[in-house]
Amino acid sequence: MAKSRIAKHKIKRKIGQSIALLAGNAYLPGFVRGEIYQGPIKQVCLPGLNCYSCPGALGACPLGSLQSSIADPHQRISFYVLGFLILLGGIFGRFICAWLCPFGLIQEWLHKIPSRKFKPENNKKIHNVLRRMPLVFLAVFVIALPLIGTIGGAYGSPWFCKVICPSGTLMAGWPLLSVNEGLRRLAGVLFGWKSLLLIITAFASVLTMRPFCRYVCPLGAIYGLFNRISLYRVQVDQDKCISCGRCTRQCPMAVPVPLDANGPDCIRCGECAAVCPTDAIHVGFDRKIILSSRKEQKPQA
Amino acid sequence: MGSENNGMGPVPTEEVKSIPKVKPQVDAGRLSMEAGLLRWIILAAAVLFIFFGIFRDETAAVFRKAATICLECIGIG
Repeated sequence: MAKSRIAKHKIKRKIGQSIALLAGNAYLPGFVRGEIYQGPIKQVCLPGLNCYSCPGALGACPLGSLQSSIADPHQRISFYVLGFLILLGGIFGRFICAWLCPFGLIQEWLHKIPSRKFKPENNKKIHNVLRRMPLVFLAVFVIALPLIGTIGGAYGSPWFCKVICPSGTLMAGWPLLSVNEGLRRLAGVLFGWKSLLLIITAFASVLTMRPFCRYVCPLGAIYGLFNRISLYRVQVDQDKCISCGRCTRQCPMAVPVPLDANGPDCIRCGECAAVCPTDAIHVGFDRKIILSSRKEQKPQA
Repeated sequence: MGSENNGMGPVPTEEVKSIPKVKPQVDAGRLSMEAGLLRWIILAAAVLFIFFGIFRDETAAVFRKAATICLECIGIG
């Protein structure tokens, strides 16, 4: 029963992720012609890490838009993009990572390839260092380096997109270069480097769950900043919790659910709630739960 | 046998025993009144940012970047 419940939940999430992937990248002629969509919807950001140079992309990448605004000496900060990220983070937290991000879905598909699996969280020291890396990538490659490039009034570069983002290589680089000979002639060392990073990411995804999301993605780090206050959240009813630990073992992001239900690592995938034998976990929009701790705080009559 | 549950079969007693009881107070999803207020202030600020950005025509800047092939993104620029 528990297995069928979690299986149903996983199917539901895969359907949601697939719809988001197809809806965000529905400009199919682009894949054939080696060009990108240039219609008016492109001024709206997509929620997940979805390269705007993907031939099918209908919207803009929020991380790319943020970097290009920082790298523009005449703009420096885009209130529009910042507001978009804060609004989505404040409402959904990292729900977007689990349900709407195409690159997250691709990593999960790769993880289904049969192989020996590794859980980096088993080594607490390494895991605790690595899980802070997305904030480092955010600070250095998304904010500092593009900003430094604008010194003297010059245009900076979107450094994360340029030297790291494997999503851009997979969703835009490889499809465009495979059909566009002009672009193919321009490919050099940088393209080789980014392709190598993509292959390493793909290989790591086979061995461990969502390695890019957990240890690299600055967009997840931004949404994660809002996890503790977001409207969409995880709530644990301590009256029902029997501390069996199933939720923590099931969690793909290794979140200790009863202790830190809304920590920055939680992607709101809902697997903890699906596996809970006592229905103690609610994942969804905020609702009041009468908690034992609250009862304890009440004065005795 | 195990504890009562929602019809998914009993929770093995030995499994329950093997997991140390956790102190349930760190973050069970509750928000203090201050954090709840902060949440709404942040959401309101986000909406204001978006409208201010649209007023400053920042959507055009996003469009300009998104509607041309980003050479950096594909590993050329």
